[in-house]
Amino acid sequence: MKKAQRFYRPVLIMALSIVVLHGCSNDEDDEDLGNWIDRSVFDGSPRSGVSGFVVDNVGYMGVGYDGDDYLNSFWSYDMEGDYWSQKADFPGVARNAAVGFEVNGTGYIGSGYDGVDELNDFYAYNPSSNSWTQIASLPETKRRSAVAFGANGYGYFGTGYDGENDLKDFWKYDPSEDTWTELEGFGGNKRRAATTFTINGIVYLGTGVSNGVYLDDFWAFDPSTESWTKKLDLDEEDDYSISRSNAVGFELNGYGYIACGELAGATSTVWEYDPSNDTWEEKTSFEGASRQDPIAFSNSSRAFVGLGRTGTLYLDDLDEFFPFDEYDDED
Amino acid sequence: MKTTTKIIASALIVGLFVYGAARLSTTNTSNETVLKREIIEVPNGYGYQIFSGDKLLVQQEFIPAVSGNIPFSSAKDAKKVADLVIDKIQNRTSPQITLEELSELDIELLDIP
Repeated sequence: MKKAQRFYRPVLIMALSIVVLHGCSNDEDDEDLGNWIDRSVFDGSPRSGVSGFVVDNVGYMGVGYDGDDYLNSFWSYDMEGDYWSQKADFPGVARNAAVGFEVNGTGYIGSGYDGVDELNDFYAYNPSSNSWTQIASLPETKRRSAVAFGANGYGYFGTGYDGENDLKDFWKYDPSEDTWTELEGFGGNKRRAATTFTINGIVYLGTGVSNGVYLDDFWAFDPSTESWTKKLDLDEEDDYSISRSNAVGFELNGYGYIACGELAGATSTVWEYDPSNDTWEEKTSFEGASRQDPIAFSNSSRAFVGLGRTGTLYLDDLDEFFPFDEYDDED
Repeated sequence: MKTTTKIIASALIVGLFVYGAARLSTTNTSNETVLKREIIEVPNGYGYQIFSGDKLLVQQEFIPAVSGNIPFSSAKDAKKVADLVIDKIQNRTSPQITLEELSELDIELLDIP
């Protein structure tokens, strides 16, 4: 019986996938809750190390690297209509490993790597006029693979890699004054390729890598007091496997998620953070191929993850995540 | 597993394979025609949509790559750019449009007041 099942199940799945003529993932792990559904195929060049932000129900993303070139085209994804539009080109030098964040309806992209140098220039995107303006550059170290987030009317930017060293400094951008000021108080280690998500105004930061070590400290930032609080480590429980780099973080319905990324190779696992008791739970892995450097769009009630790369294969699809649905491998 | 169940399962699987293979071969012969464009009217001009089958992939209400919300001034311009995008997708190259290509295609970039 067991033997027959083991034989028939994969054969049946294969037959079904031929019938539906559709890339049908065959994740072995169907115990975790959560489901992913294919959405619009990104029509731009497959790219990784992209940067973006969300304004209302539209995700914006651009720049990145397609394996040959550093890119400066910029796109929007309409979550309601499930389609892409090409917007005004990013005006700075083409780059990847930049940061993107949103403050009061304006999007920002800056820093990164152009293939030769790390960068410190920043640009603001106005979605209603579809236009870019250069803003003040970061006064200190040029860098790539930093993190950034918007909170309380300000932009925050920190950590990263300057070409020689990993960094742990943090900066605050004031859009009304167009100025950067350094922000003391982050107690975590220096790192690159970390990730953040924001739940009810509190920003959580974790993961990333430094000198080949995946970091397991986890931090909460309260923008109203601009103070950092250490949370339980990402290896607090024996079955946690959250540490990684180049992941995406996003918030959905009051929970935080860390998805995909790199952990000695690309990974597709997804972990859910419950801020009420500082615990993590594993969800259904991303149904596309595992990937690092992806992008996530979330408007708090819907979340999409896509793009990125695995090894040298560049991926260009986008999946919507339904964390509380039963896993269904046919969508 | 009972023998009858085994036979039914086998028949089902073989059937699915045959059905799947048949479907695969028919779609292969009529491939390449999945992408189509539609020119849309927008305030003060034209835009385009690109469909993959029935699925809307791209909706361009304004000229791509260009700063500002500038629609195409003619349906002809919108068609030229939409066709270039479709060419690029069919040739499996990146379908992003550059400013150079817009000027090569003589696309009018007049800002509407």
